[in-house]
Amino acid sequence: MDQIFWLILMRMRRPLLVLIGVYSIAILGMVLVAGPEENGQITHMDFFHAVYFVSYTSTTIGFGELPSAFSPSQRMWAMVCIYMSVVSWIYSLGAILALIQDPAFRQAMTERHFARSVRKIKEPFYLLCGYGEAGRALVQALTQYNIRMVVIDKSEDRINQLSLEDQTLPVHVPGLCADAEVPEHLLEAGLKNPSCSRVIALTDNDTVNLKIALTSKLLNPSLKLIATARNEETKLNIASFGTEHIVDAFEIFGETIALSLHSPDQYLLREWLSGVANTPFKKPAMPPRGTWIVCGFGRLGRFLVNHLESEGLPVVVIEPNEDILSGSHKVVYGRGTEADTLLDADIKNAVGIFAGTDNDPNNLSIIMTARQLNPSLFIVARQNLGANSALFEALDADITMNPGHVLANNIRGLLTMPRLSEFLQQVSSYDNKWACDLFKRLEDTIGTETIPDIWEVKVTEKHSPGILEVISTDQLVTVEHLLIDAYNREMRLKVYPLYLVRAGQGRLMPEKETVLEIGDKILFCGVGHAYHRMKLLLNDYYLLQQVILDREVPRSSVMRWILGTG
Amino acid sequence: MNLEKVIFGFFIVLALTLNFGFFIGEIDNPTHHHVYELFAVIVVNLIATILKFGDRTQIGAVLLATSLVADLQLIAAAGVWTYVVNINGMPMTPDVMASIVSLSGGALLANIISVVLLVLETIMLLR
Repeated sequence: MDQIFWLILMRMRRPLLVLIGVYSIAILGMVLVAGPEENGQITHMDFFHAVYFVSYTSTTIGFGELPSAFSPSQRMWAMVCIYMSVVSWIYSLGAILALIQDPAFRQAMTERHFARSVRKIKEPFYLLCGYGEAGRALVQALTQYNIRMVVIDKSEDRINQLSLEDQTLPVHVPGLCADAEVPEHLLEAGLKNPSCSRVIALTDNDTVNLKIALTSKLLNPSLKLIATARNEETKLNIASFGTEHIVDAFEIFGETIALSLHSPDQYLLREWLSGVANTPFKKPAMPPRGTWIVCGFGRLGRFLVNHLESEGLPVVVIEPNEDILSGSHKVVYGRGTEADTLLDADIKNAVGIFAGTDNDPNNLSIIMTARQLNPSLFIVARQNLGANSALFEALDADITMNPGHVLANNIRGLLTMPRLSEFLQQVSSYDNKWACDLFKRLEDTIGTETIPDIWEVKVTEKHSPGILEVISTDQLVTVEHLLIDAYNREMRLKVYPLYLVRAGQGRLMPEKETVLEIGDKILFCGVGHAYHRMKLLLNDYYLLQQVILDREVPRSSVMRWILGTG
Repeated sequence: MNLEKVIFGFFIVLALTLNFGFFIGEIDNPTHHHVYELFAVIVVNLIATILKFGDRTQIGAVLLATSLVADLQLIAAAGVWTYVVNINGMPMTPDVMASIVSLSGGALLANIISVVLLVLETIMLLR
């Protein structure tokens, strides 16, 4: 508010002075100039009519000679008034228009509008810096959960894109085109707003991410922070001042590929649980074991080669730049877009190829060529730009890796299902056989054709008043009770309990006989309407009673008295 | 010497002196208070107000406020005059004159504060 107000005052000083000066001269002149004679006496116009005349003349409205016909000397002066005041009005209007068009003024206006719409957000929101591929995918995903977000990006094109997409999003996402490195912009975006619950730094630049992380930790230490970083040094630096999560798309992808190679069922379980709920589940393609060709030995290539080699798989690297090569793997110099290079890399005997350069046309070309040479290859393609989606869909690779989507998916998991990340962490300490058995059991009990809802039941007064009330009457509530369909007690909900947290200790796959205690947190996965059905039980004491006692329980005290169940 | 300061001080002091000139005299005697003088006071006050725009200091804000008060009082005085004489077409009576002059007296007070602040600011700069 302040800045704009002062800017207007500063800029309007001269035009207003000119207007007042011209008006006062015109009015005074009009009063002093001799008017028509009346009864032999020269009359003068009074101040009121002079103001009236100058007002309508200078704005070019021109009512004529009022209140009575002018004398020649008054007409003379009126002419002076017209030229003087019309010119001064044109000048003043020009100054006002110039002010409105002024880039500094417009920026101040948009910032003010943005800050106001951020202040209006009353529910918790996330502050997202960077609206690139990852930021865009994240906004699309999180707004589906009705999570409010605020976006800052340096590029005007991206903010324009956001304001277009905002029309189709379920909740309004305000965006500001500004440099997130400047603390003032972060403050405008609600860094100190009590509703702001997290800062997510997803810009393309490590230094900027570092600066954002620093700013938010200094200005609002209680705020949780998620940042992406590419450089190892920056990662350590960001971690050093207590950033909660540091995510790197390439690292995540490398780990995923490694997981799918050494424990495919763990990978399957993870994919099934962390997908977008209630969408059909397509079993992911499993990378085969054998010789792999990796095109592009950049940061992503290196991660992948390390993981493949630690799985004991032979790797051939294709890379045009000799300087960045290191390690003991077989190397072919070239782009990989020509058949020669691929043949040199012994593509006929390879099982898989990874086109992982940072150039989409090259990646597409590598894969088209490789497919002709060896149609049975397992193909992993890296897609850098969202705009190329149609091409990569037509290519139909076994795995298409989009760094932005990998990041967005990972962060979505962290934000919407933090308990699931904890669960998966625990699961990863078991072997593949264990995961395979678990997946079988899930397939038998609830089916794995669709991706399940994941939710957490907290046994607290606020979240499950029904359970608490039952516990307070010294009845026991077990996990199994929660699995019963409240509307049809013969039926079981398609729900599976995954994880129980009691007194800070996590337990995988709690038994159905487990008795619930106050403060427990249980993670469930389920399909269909299961989530909403279970929610009924959590809140409704009578429904829960019916389920536990396996008979109808009257709701009214009169009926209870009649039935003698008091 | 700064020309801007000269102009600034000139208009603020002129606003006070003209205001005083209009105010002085018997409060209800129309011959002691001329309409041209009131016109001049209003114009100079408006100019002084606009000269005070854009000063973001604390003292600048108070200066602007005093000017706005003076403008309000003077325009009210002019409004009373116009309403009685030009719109109702009645001759100027002592009681109307008294209310016009007392309104301008309020503006005079605001202008005095304005000048005092200006002097204070100058003294503060000297020390």
